[in-house]
Amino acid sequence: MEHFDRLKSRIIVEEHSLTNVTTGHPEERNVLKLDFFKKNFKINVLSLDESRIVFELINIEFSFVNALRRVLLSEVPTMAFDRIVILNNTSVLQDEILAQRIGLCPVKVDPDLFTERTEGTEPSEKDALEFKLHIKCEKGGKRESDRRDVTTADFVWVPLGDQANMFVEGEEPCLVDVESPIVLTKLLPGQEVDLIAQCFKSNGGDHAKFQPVATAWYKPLPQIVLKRRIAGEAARRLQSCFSPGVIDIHVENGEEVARVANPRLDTISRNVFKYDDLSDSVELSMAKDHFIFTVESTGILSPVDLVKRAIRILITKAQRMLHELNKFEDAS
Amino acid sequence: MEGAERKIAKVPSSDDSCVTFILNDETHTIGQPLHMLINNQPEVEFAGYSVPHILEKKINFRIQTKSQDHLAVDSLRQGLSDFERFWRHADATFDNAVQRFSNSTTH
Repeated sequence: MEHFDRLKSRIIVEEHSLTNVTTGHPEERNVLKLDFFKKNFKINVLSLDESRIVFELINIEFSFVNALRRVLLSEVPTMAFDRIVILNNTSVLQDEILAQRIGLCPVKVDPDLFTERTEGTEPSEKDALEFKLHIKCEKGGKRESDRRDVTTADFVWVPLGDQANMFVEGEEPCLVDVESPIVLTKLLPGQEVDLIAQCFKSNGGDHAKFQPVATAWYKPLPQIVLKRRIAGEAARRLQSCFSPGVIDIHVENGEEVARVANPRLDTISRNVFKYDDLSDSVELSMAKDHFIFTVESTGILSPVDLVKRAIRILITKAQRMLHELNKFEDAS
Repeated sequence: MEGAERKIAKVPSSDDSCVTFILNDETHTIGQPLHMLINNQPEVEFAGYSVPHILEKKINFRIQTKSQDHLAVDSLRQGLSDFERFWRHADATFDNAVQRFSNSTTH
């Protein structure tokens, strides 16, 4: 019955179709039952560094995993440049192009310290962050080295109101360095850029520049089962059909035999169906309730912080609606 | 606030067991999981949602229950409450997972 159980929880990947996709009657979906979820839901962090986290979620419904991804992309708020006052720009880039480039640079500050700005009000210390950029390239030089790049490192933070006291020294708002400062424009001798740039708080759903993730994505856990022994040249060919590390070759009685090593690395490319003699040798499937989730940060928030904020937003969503429902009931 | 759209509105109906709710400022993010959760409830005959127009950020969520005794709004409430509890549990599980990972890598 192990095969049957495995079938129930897996989508079979065939050459031209996916089968076993329907998840059965909703009442049978264990992962939607809170008790089952509380007992069986697991998260394992597979890797974690300053910019990226990879973790797996086991025994969860895909629509929940997708909800997490959607919130990470479009509902976790950040601060980004939204208003630029250009005092002087004699660089080769037009004002609006320069402004657009500046808008896309991530601003490293905790968005929780700010509120969203109300349309029509003056920006204040509670909802805005101001930076000044004033670079002049000295006149007269004729060499390559007399030119100057204007980068994100040239921005100077201008504290508004009481903001100077809000931040610990060394942790003031700044622009994110992606390996090195981002080049915004290049100046020739005599050219100048002088502008004031203000950041406001919003989310990715409003404009992509507010997105806190470089991206976030998930994939269902792939499973590969070899239905028969594959040896020799066919084994090498099978290995080439999958991502590196998925299939490895070991020597058995002087022959090279293929073996499934790490199916997690696979991208479910179905390349194996290219070869007629290998099409029937492999059973490819994907789990319906086991996902590998990756979050890459743009540098504003740590990956762990991002996931936690996204979960918090999902919880608050439900709470707000429950609150509304209760008001509804009282009114009617 | 006067004139502000309610978060949850209801299409008028005479039957409280078959109701279409309008969830303002919501998308598939909550629609899909909610619909899966509510369909899982044994008293629910039908639960589904749609986005009436892609340029307007709202969803129509319809719930029909199997008998007059079960109100659609109760199913919605149960669904939302379960959604919240799922994510609270996931929050705690995630914290543990990160803790376990940093413990295992520092040793």
